[in-house]
Amino acid sequence: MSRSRIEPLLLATGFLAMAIWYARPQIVYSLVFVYQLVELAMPEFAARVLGG
Amino acid sequence: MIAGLAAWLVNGLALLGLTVVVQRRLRLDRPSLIAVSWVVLWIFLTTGLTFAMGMVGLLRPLPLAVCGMVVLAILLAVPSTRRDLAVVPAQLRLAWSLGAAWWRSLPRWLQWLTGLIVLASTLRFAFLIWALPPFVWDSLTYHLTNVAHWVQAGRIELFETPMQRIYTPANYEVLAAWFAVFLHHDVVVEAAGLPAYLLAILAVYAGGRSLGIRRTWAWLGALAYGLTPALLLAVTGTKNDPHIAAYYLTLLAVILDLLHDVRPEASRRVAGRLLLLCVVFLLALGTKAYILHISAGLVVVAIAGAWQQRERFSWGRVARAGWREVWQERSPAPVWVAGLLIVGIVVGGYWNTRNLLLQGNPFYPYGVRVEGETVLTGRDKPYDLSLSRLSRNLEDLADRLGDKRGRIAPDLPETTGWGWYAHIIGIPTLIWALWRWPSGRLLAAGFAVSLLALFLSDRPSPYSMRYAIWFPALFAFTSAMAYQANAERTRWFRWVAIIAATVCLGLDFIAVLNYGRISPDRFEKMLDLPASERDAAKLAVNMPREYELALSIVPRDAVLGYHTHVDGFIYPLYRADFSQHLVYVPFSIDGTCGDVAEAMRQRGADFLFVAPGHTLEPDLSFIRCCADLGSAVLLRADGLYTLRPDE
Repeated sequence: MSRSRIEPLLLATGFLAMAIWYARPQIVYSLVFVYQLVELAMPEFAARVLGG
Repeated sequence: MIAGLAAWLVNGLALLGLTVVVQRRLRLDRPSLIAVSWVVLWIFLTTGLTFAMGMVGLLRPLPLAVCGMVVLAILLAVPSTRRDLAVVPAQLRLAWSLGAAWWRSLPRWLQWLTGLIVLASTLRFAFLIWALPPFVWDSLTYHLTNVAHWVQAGRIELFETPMQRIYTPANYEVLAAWFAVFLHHDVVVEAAGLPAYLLAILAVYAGGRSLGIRRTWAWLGALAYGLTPALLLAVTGTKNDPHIAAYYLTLLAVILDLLHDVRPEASRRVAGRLLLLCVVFLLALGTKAYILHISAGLVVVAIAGAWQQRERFSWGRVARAGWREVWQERSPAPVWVAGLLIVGIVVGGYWNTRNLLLQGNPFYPYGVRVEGETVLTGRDKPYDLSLSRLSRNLEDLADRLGDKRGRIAPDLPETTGWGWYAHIIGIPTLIWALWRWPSGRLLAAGFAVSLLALFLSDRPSPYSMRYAIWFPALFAFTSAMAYQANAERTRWFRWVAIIAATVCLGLDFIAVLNYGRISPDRFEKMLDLPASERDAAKLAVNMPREYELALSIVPRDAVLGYHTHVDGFIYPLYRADFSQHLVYVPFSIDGTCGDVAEAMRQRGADFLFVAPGHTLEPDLSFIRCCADLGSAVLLRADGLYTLRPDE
């Protein structure tokens, strides 16, 4: 396979690998913020459905 | 309020006029570098003028407006500067047509992305500046304490306080004072970071263009750096780190522009660019000392870049050409060069020179140690240059990669603050650049040397990455070049690259919508208050309740004494409109309660403020005992004492 074909493939694989590694803790932090927003906008819903 | 706005308008117009005139003297011809020079010269001249007015005790709206009128009158009276101003409308039309052509040259997807980012960022910045008072630790302890005192006193001066970091270089604080003095209020003081933000983005774009990156990808890289969480957080955090990042990247952009100027040597004009280098470095030197450390990487880029170019480039020939342009061709005229350098030397050297004269140490309050040997003594923690610090900081960096130890928040506790784009796209493309792009290897070496030089003295702490917010710009360059090299010849990768970049930039933006630490109910509480009453003391993010309580009791015309330790918050006590007069009331647990009362009387303090976490615990216990024992000091509320009425 020529270098012009393999380079994009390697880069895309690198993006995917880094995304899997980076995303997990960040998603947890983002969910906490989303929960806070829901709790503020709809406190009853948060208490009933999300257990706030 | 109206008078303040009018004075601000006059002063601002004068500074714009002065920027036009000075910028034209540089005779730059690349549009991206012209844009960079516009912004940095505006910062430089605004800082210089405000500094001069502050030093002579005229840091007030009316004198600043009069000064603006005088500057405008001079610019209009002198024939050469009047000619410069006369061509401004034509220049604006030219800039508009160039800007429009540039915009049309971008692909549709990038136009949409740019539009969305500009709109969302503008709204975010405007909302955060308007809704929240300053709350970042460094600001509440010393950056804004300087600003509040100067605006209140109408003069740039030292004052008695336990916070010795008011001595550190303060060009950022001077610029922040310009954003606060006209309204006599801190409602827009967070905007003092926006010029640096704009400058940093433009500098990354200009640097990318010099490296041969085409518009589309250079602009995408610049946008990516602009959405780096560490930078976004610091911009409105009333700190000087975004300014240092912007100056570092501006210096890099000018160096790259000189290195990669492909025109024949005889037709290059270099004096303006050399002058810009000097001015930006001096401005940075008066902003924060670590520009000295990170400049090591710029020297590497300059030297190794010249070496890469072989006989086509030599810094010696550039210096000689610059000298010839100034002294033989008089373009720019020597008087302008001398004027700019004098202003630069003053704003760049004043703070350290003052400290040397007053304290015998230019870096006061910090001492300097090299491998355990004390070189300069200071009162605060020393700059300790040692290999053990370097290795500890590198270990910390390795631990923080992935930002997995906490949310990205101001001061970057336990995180890099680089965010989604830098990790997911930046790191793979950095590896690609090291393999495939010679200029990328050079850039990486320069950034690495800057980081190592910083880590050699950066005190290991959870917050040590806050001085390295310029570093993710490396990922902007490498991703831009990797995209250019691969996305333009491989259709499927083009769409992978565009989608990955868009998603990462969106996630970076979302990650810092609320600074990563302000909960929605705190926003709600601040928004319930009129904008003019959003005191820093009322934002209970890191603020003991004693601050708000004290301001609710102490009348504005009373003198509020405070007794905080060397790292205590002082700024919130000034109130948002800088109306509260403060005095430091020193006392010691070795003294008597009578000594405390005497210190209050001597300084004219009507009240004495202390707070847990911001006053030493033994001092808190001592003053509480004094009140309990029925001495001359009386407890008025938690953290607030007054003199007994019969005293």
